Amino acid sequence: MAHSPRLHRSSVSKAAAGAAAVLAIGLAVAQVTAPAELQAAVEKFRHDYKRNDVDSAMELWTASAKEIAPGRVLDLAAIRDSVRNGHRAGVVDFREQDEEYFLGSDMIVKTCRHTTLGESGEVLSDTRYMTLWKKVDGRWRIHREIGIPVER
Amino acid sequence: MLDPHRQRGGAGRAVAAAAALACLSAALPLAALAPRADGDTIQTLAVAAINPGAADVQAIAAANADFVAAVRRRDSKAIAEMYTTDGMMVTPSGPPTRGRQALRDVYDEAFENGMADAEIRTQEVYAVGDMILDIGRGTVLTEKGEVLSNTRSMTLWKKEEGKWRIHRDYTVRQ
Repeated sequence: MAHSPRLHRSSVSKAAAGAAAVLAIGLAVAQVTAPAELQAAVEKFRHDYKRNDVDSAMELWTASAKEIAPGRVLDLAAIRDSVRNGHRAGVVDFREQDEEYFLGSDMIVKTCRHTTLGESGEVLSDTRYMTLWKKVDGRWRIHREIGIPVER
Repeated sequence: MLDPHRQRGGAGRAVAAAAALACLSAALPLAALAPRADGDTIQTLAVAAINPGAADVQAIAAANADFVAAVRRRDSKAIAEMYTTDGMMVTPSGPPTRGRQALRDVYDEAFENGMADAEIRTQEVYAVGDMILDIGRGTVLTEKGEVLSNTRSMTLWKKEEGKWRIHRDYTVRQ
């Protein structure tokens, strides 16, 4: 799943203003900082995940979300199971790099390299994602996603 | 769209599969331990979630047909030019391939390794601003019709120089 724990507030506010201008004319423009609303959704997930509140964490996805992975496609129930099992796998946090955002009015495509971290900050996984975010009921949610493991 | 890289063999593939599972398990963060979902759920959606105009959908279909035709001609130059100047292909088979010359090199190698035909099946299309996201499946075939790889992909198309071109192309094998 695509998350960005890094939040540069000054650049986010500039990006949000730029995004508003772009959305007004309906163009998709790449930028490297997260739109503020999308970043807020990610941070909410991080908070929910750390509290092990799976029900609240699952608000990050649309009801018909799909995750494409090597050899399989996960539906919402499978995504939920994976979130529920995350703590058992030792995942305590995540970080992202190489983010790009392609903005539309009710859809955003994000690409990034996503790293999950264990208790001591050790890297547990490293994955390149492309994520389609969709605005549903006023909130940005993951609708489609493809994850490509990075060989280590 | 497609994964033109050669399939790894023997122990290499097993190691890669294990690594993929390990990565995926924590990335989602634990997809590998989740019950298996219906692998074809996306396929059943067909091209259902369409919000772009019909002309855009047709344009992407035509571009995909051009791509397949270029594969059949073994025309790596034409394939590379179907990507934007900053186009990037991401597969599990190695580091991302960025830029037309690098893309051309990958396809030249793929043709040397037996790639002779392809099928691309779009299942969902979304408009994202002035770009289009195409979600679908692909197959790489030999001249005799043998399947070299089956894939699922998410491909972001961007209009550059008046033509729809692939800007970001993420593909996994199935």
